[in-house]
Amino acid sequence: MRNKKSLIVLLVLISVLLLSGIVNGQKEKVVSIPYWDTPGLIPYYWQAQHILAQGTIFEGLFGYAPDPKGLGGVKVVPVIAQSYKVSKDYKVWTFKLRKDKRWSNGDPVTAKDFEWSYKYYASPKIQDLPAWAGPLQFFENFWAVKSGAVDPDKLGVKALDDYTLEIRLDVPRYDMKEWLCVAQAVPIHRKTVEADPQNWWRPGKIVVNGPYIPVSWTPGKDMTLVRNPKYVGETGNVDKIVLKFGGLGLQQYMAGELDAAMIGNVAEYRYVMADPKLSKEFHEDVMDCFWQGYQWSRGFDPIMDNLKLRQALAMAIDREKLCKDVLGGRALPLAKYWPDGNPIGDKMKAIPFDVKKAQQLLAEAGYPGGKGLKTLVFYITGGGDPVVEFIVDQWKKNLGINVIIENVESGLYWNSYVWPSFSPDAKAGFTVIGAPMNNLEIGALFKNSDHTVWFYDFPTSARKRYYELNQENDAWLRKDGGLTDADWAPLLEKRKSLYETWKKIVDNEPEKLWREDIARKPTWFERFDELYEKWKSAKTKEEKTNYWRLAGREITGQEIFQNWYLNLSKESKEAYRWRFRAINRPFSEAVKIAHYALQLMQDRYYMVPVYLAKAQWVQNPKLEGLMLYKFSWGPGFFNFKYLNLKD
Amino acid sequence: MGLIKYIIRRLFTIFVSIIVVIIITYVLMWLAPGDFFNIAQFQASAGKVATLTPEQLQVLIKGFEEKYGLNVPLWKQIWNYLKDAFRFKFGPSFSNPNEPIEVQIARRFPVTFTLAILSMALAVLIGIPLGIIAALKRNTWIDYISMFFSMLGSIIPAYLIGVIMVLVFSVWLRWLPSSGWESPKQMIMPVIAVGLGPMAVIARFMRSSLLDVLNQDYIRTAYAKGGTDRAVIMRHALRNSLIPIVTIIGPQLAFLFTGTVWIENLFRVPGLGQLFVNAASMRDYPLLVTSTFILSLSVMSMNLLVDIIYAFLDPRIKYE
Repeated sequence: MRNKKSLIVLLVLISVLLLSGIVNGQKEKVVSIPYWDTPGLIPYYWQAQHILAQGTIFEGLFGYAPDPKGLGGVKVVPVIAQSYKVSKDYKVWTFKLRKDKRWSNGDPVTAKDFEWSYKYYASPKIQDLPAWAGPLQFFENFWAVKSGAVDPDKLGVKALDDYTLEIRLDVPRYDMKEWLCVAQAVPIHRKTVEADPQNWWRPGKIVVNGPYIPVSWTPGKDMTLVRNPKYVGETGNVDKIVLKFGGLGLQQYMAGELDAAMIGNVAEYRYVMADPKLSKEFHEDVMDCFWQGYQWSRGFDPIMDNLKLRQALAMAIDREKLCKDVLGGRALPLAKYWPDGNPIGDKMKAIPFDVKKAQQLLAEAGYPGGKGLKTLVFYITGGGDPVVEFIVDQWKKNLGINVIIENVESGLYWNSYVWPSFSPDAKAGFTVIGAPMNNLEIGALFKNSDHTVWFYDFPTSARKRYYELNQENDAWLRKDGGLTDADWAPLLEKRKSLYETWKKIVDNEPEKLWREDIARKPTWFERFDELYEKWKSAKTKEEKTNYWRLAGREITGQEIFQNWYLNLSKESKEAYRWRFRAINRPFSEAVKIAHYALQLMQDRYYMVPVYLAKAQWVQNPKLEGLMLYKFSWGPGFFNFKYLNLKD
Repeated sequence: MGLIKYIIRRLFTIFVSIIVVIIITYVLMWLAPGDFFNIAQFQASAGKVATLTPEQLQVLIKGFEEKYGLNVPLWKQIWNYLKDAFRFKFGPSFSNPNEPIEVQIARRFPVTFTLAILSMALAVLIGIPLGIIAALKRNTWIDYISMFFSMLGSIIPAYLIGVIMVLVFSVWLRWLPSSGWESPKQMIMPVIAVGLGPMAVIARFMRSSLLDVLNQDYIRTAYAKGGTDRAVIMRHALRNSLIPIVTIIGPQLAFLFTGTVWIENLFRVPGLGQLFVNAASMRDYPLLVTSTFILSLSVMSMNLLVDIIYAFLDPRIKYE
């Protein structure tokens, strides 16, 4: 009897062990990844969630797939789109959608979802849509819809049937496929949003169409995503992803709490490389969608009009030494906007490190050995910047130039010194700049170096005039008057003279695409004339003042354009012509000619590349398919659907 | 009755003071270089990347201004803010338009409150005995060691203590999780890191306060009456020497409600500190004003609480 009991106990034990083995074999695959602190899940905001919305929790018509040779390490692939056709003028795009895509609640993903979502984003209900970050800005009537002047139904998007979507644009866009990858192009689930417009996005409520569903979220701490059982499409084998915000990445990784961790500084890098285990788990890639360097401050000191001075400074920096000694091998020297080994960078010439030539140029600029040159200012923020200290030291040592470093509060620094068109308060000098691509699109290929054309490359007097005209343009929004013919007389006078000049510009501009852009209907004078006619028949004082104000803005707008165009250097004009040629062809073709514009802009030496940062991280050797995010906000990880955790 | 009247009067003072603080904050932001309220600057820079026309930019700016109530004069903005703020409605923030500020605060406040209270409890429970022992054993090795450790707590920044603890207890020994805020185990390191600073301050204040009291005439009288060390210290000296400690605990606690940002970031504690520090660096003016509101309210409430506690500790203090 006892033996029988013992046998039963033994059998039960064996069964338990076997079962636990089976259970173990099916163990949930969980991956923990460091992530930007995500303040919500509404995809259209320019916050960390916009990266999560690109392929992880939401999907659009197109998306990114890994491609080590592609710009940003990605290639654009159809996701919900099955096929598309585009009109000859690149203004009407028609997409056929896959029929097997589902929302996480089982509803089919249809063209109507896209139509409704785009109209919802465009409507004045979403007052703070950062429209510059998405493709809707190019949709027919978007700006009129956004301003409330036109009903959202007039937006250039229509579901022709459940699985055919038509998008009509105001202007030709050759890179719509690229633009449709971004977060503002993903659809959201109508019923859920309408049922609770404030909270539809919260875990537990949100309905997604991507491979993962957010199930819990603590801002400042973490977010948990689980596999979407309704998802149809390529995915890895990971069941649950825990995104961890903040913390000591490397230490968390070493404690076994993260499956990957970014290396944040030289000390961590050296520690990792000295550790036999960690060094085997080390990875790095270049952040080639950025360039790091300096730009001339955007003030009005005529000293910056001196090309040879600008050139001398750019040539007197030992970038190799900077990357080795200051940045500890965590960056590559960069003397052109795109690096070698890249389809654009390979065709560009680098700024040489040539102290003798720099000294000669400085002398030719009128400042031999730095003599006679006033002390320049290098604006920084955050208390200290070893890169800036190195550059300033190089200029002192190699050229005898004195530059002082001035620390500025961060808000002021970014808003008033780095990114505004002009900084009237800025002294002659510099700021650092890390100019990124926000996403794949043709305009971003120029990595903001086109600011050279827009805001730098014309004489100081003209830049100052540009600034004053901008102020005047804003002032028109609040001006009183416009009730009498006398108020219109100076405007009509200006319209006449401006038209004469405009006509000459259009007649003489050699680039057809630019000409067409300048003369695109309705032209500024057609809008002006229409406002004048409306003013004549306006009934109320408010209406009259309003038309007069808008007409005033048309005039100052044209004055700004003409002041800019007529004073722009011939090199920048040529650069802009190449820019037009690039943006008027498909993305892959644009990549082939973008270097012409970039080289011309780089050779003006207002915005000077110095180094290219590397993304460095350690990663669980069992983890595969981790994609590096190389656009603005990077480095970080994204598009988690490719994650695979090996047994 | 005196106490209730006193509290009502103080609450009224708090109310008026907060209005003044908010007005000053708004005016300072308005005067600050770079223009806090000019979303146009931010939008313009962002817009340039996408080459928006001035008219398109105006559409975006108008939407932003309407959402954040910037389309009215400054005095009206202040009025609108105050009207809502006293009902704990703070509207959206620039840096997180997903949800109103009050929702963000409601979620984060309990975390910060727990961290602050636990850290302060740790500081008091260790700091006061440490100060007493140091005072009673003045100029002995016990005094020197106690003060040495309290000095260390003052001079080593909390985040450094945090990093060292993570290395020792999470990476090497693997006893404690390196971050998080769900289980008591996860709370140990952040609480110690935050609590060590105030503990050091309390210990040093306690020591000097007790030494002051021990030199008073009434203590000599108590000894002259034949009181033992224990009886004199516990009954006469300790209670009076606690008054300055209560004074410093109030503001320290108020500071902990918003000043634990490094520790929150280090240990991934989802509290208020990170939110408020970002407000300043990102020029998020609605959040910045709200952080001023919350901080002033915390400090003033703590001061009121401290003043009430005074009377319990020292019966000579009367509310008038």
